[in-house]
Amino acid sequence: MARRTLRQVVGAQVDPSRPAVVLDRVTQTYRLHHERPGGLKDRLSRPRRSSFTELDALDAVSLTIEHGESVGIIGRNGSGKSTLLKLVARILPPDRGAVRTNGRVASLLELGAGFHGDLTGRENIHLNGAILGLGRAEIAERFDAIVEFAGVEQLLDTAVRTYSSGLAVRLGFAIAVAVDPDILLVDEVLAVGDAEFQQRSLERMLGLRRAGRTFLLVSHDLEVVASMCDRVVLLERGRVAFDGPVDAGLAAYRDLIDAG
Amino acid sequence: MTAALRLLGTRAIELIDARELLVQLVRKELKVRYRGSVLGFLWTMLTPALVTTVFSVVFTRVVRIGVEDYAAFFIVGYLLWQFLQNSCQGSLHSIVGNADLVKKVYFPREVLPLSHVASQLIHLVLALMVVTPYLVWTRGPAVLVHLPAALALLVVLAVFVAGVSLWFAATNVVLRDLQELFVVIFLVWFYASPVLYPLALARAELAASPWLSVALRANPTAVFLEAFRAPLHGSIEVVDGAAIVTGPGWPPIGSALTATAWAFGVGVLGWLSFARRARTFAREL
Repeated sequence: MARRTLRQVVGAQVDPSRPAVVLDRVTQTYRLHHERPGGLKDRLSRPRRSSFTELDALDAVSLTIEHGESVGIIGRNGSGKSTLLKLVARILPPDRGAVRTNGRVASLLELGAGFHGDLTGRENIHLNGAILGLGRAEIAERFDAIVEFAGVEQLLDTAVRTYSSGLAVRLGFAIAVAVDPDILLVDEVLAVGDAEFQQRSLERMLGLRRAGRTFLLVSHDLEVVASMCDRVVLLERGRVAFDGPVDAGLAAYRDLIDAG
Repeated sequence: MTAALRLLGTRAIELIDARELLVQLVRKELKVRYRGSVLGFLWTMLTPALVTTVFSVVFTRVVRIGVEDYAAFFIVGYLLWQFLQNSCQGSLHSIVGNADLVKKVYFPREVLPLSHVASQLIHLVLALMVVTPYLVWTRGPAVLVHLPAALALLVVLAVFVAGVSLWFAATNVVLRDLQELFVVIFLVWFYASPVLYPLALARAELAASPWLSVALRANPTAVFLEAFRAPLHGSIEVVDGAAIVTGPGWPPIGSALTATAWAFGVGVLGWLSFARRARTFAREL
């Protein structure tokens, strides 16, 4: 095996010889605390005893996703879909098992998270681009495309707090897709904006898909899954109930819902 | 030990990759603080100027601390103290206050507290530029000659402040009472540090109680304050109960080395405790 660079080891640069995403027997347990923790008084009065129920959001899930695959994660509410995306996005560390990503990951989990109301649109593009991991030159290079796609030419030097919520989301989306990540995580993102913008964002994502990007998409909209994905992972109570072609996956999901 | 080194090594690579984010956050801090105007910066100098005036009157007229050019002596220490306290205060809220962001996007979390340290450092440098003419006027041109020593010490000090700030930022996530304790911690630390008085004078007065004297010297801020004042105000010795100021001059090599050791130790430990806790921030918030 060729020697990997340091940046490949930490996952900041693509190493084509390995899969895009690997989940190796990942278990994620949530502690549902019965009271909000963290006070000194709590710690002094009950140093060891704490009251919580454990809930396995993911139970020994193993998945391998190759470069260029587009995987739809489906399942009922609380089946662990969003937890899975957060693990791949590195927002949460797995309690057990390992998550390995290979290449730049960007998430469309929350558009415009990190926008600062007092800063202008222009400043927020720079700030948000940097939050999503872009360098200065990369932001400069993508700046015009972002502005054009979001349609904020007129408002570039206006504070973002005056933007309508729809406009802010559009700007967030424009920045996120401009990151041009190797692995894109999408969570119900198409539910935002007007019909025209939804159409444009779907086209943009299909474009990225054709360009060979890896997708992980969480959606309850089975039509979107059918049009975007070539593989479906069905989660049920934190376990993989199905992993395979889209048609069979969607059928399995409908059976599951019919069974109650 | 190896695990700790590997952890910090990985974090360091990620931080280098995220340098643009740090730059953008610092720019945001400065813009919000100065509101984009020169006058904005001058406003932030109002507090140190007023505090210096009040303390100078109190400690040269009412309670006499016999230090030559007390105002120059005080302002140097006070600016340094403000750097420490404001960095820690900003960092304290930096993770908890950005909970939405931390729960939704991954980036090396260190940039949030470090952006406060960096913007406060820039502020300290600007403030020092403003007071330097006054220091030269009261303490003589030797201040200019020894200015490089002060700048070198700033780098060392910044490492120390970064370590303390990272600790405060991470600890506040799991122990929210820290926000309430913060004011008290810094009030006590302020009076226990030789900002208002020279260390030599305090040690001479406390010679009868060796424990207090040791505690006073064990405080890292004492080391930084004394070393930092040497080039900008002077070194102070106590002869027959009177404070004699010599200088401005180079800081003693011993105190420069002690300061560096403190900075390195606190910097690494603070970063390590932050890096260990950062993994679960998204869950704790």
